Amino acid sequence: MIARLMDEPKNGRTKSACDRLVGILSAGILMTSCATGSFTPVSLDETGVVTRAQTQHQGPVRVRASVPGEAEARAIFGAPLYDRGIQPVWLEISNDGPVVLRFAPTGTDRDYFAPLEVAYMHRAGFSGGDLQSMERFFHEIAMPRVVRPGEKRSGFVFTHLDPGTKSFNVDIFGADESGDSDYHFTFFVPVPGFEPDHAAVDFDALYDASALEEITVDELPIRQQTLECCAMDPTGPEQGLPINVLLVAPGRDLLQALLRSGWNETSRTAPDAEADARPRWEGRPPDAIFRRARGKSDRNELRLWLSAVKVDDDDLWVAQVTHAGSGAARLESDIDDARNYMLQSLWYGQSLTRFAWLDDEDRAVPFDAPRTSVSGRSYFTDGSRLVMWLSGTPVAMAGTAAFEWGTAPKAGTTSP
Amino acid sequence: MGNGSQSGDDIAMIRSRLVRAALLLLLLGVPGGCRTNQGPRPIEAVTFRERALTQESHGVRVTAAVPSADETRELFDADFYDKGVQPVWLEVENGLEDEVAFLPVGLDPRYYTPIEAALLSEAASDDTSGRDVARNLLEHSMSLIVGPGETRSGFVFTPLDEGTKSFNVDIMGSEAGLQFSFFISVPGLQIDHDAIDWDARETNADAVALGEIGDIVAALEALPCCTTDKADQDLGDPLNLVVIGSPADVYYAFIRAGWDETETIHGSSLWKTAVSFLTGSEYRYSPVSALYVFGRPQDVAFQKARDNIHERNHLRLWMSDLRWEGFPVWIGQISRDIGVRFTRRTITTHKIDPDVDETREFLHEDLAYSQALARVGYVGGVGAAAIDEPRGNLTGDPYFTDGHRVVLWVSSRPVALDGIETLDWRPVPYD
Repeated sequence: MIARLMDEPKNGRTKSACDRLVGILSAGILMTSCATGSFTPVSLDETGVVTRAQTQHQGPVRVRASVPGEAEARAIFGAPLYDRGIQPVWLEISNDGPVVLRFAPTGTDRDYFAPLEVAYMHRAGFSGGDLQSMERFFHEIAMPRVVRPGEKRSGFVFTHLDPGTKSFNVDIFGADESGDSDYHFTFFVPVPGFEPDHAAVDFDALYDASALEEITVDELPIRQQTLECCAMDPTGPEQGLPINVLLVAPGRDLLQALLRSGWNETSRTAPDAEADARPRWEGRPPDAIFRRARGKSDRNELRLWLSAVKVDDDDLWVAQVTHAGSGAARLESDIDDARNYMLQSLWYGQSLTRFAWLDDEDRAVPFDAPRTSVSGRSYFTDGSRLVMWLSGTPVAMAGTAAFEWGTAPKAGTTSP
Repeated sequence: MGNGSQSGDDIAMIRSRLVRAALLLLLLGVPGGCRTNQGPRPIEAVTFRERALTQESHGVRVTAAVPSADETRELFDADFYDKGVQPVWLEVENGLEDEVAFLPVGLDPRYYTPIEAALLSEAASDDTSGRDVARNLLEHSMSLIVGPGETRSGFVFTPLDEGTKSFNVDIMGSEAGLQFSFFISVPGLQIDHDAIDWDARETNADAVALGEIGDIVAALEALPCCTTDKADQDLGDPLNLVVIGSPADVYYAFIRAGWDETETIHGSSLWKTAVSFLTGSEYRYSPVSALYVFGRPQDVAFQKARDNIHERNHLRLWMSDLRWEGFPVWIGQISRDIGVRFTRRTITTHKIDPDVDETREFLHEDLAYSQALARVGYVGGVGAAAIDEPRGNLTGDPYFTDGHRVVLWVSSRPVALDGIETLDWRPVPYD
């Protein structure tokens, strides 16, 4: 189940009451620093950032990682980094091997912010010596690139803000020519101040044991035809948008696959949660909603429900994926494009084990005769459902297998 | 922060927006551009495919072509280029016994869906013709799947790249993934290095051939430390890059890493820069001002746009007289813009990150992650400047540095991250 990720003991501990307290304390300190107008950051040790760090080992290399929440970041840097879309990631790298190691921040965020760039963005209100000490502070608190044999070094990388659990890579390269001393870590770090929607769902209580159903992969094409076809509009017994994606994976793998592929969690307490507008499947709102920004104004939204069906022992999740958030109704109507985009995001996210199309002409809705649900959403579709098997650990792109059940959706022009 | 100061900020912001809007109106003058309203023309009637390129690998043939602004208007009866949309035409011939998938995200992760492109085009403001444009684009968009023995063709709608369009076409089959890299020049943009006679410069009679790798350190360190002004008097930005490769290698490597060519400074592009500065929107081709080495302005300039014009990286390269195994040795400068400020010399200029070593290492990693780097090493030659005693460039920006140059052997063929050769001329200098 998804919630189990948060309980996973392997990579450190979960958010505690103590950490929450630190957040509150930090906010108080921030007010003080604003009032005086001088640069007075809080020592990192006074926050819970380092003590809750996750740890991973590979050979002689140990990496610890932690992500300050919004209030902690304000306190540590004396500046509202989150407001500018900047999320600091704390790293500590220990090198017990014989070669010099190089950490590449580019691997953590391809377009990371340079430390003095962050300082420059927050220079307003500082001058003279305060400005200088602020710039020096950012320069010195940055994660260094070089860790020599026997050294342990730590610092921050300034990344773009991701809502929800932060997933990122730490790429470390050995300074020899063999390539044998390269190390690649992936972290999934919960961020204080954010409670993902799925953490509030008791997945084990969703279905009685008697309702659970075990099927094999060969039975899936028939079985999926009798799943509830669509989510219902929350306002009445009207059909909403169809279920256009099925996902097969244990919850933990599902979460890691989505995070690795750039899908962000959402929170039910977020101001844009639109609790009443959420569609219902089998009578309940989505167990989890994920979003992935696409371009400057569009995003795709994934609404997920756990079904009572298990496919070869793995959970079967039913899902709707659509364009959302642009306010352009006609773009939202192209739900097939959103489905195809999701396939690609997971493929490039190295999270896709295999996939298959399940065609059904009865589900097709032509472009020139779109269907409109009671809430006013219209859509057209070729009627194909996409089934994807997801992996929590990376799958090479060429390692993804296609299952040929149905014919794949077609567009474009066939040459004679 | 109190409410009083916030509303003060609001007023200042509104005022600044009004000023920008007024300036924009002045600059824009009478709106140009005209719709032809002749309806879309069939693809066979538009000649852009004469410039198509074809590549074949492991039983899959891919042909690609990019219509210019005018050709795009003929094809779709919509001003896509004005809206920042550039169609790419593809044809995939699948000679395999299994279906293959074409993944448009690999071509450009920011690609537009057909309906999105229709919405962006002017035609979509009218509901009926908007539907027609959308249907037309849907019908002519490239398919995700190409069956065994099939040939399918269609358009992918991408964000506009002026000048050379560089993209990958990723084809995933049941056996393996195939990647085709295309560089297709599109009529319409005047690029810096178009005016340079590369053959003459490469076969320069004064060229000095370098010996073994170990021997060239001294020669690289003897190259000039810094750029100068036109009169060759004042020292400017540190020359902390050495790039080794043919002009084509250099060009492909930087384009592969997502760097854009820059326009030669002339009236039109300065105008575009002014508009971009005023609106804060991303204009990726604004010209780079001239710095001087060897008594001449840069031979090539590239830039990489980030979130807006105030945050971009740009670099300049000059071909030196040194040759390594026949390949030109280039000296260069890179800076990371972190804001805009006003100066007396160039009116507006960018505030650069004073930590020039950080920017240098960013480039090293950027090329490596783009699989465009074959070998790397470090030499001296810049001269160190401590953070407490920074030096200044020609526009008065301070910088500090460990004094090293990174030496980058670029490759036009992809090199995996673990395939990069690291030279131990010097211990890794960068902290």
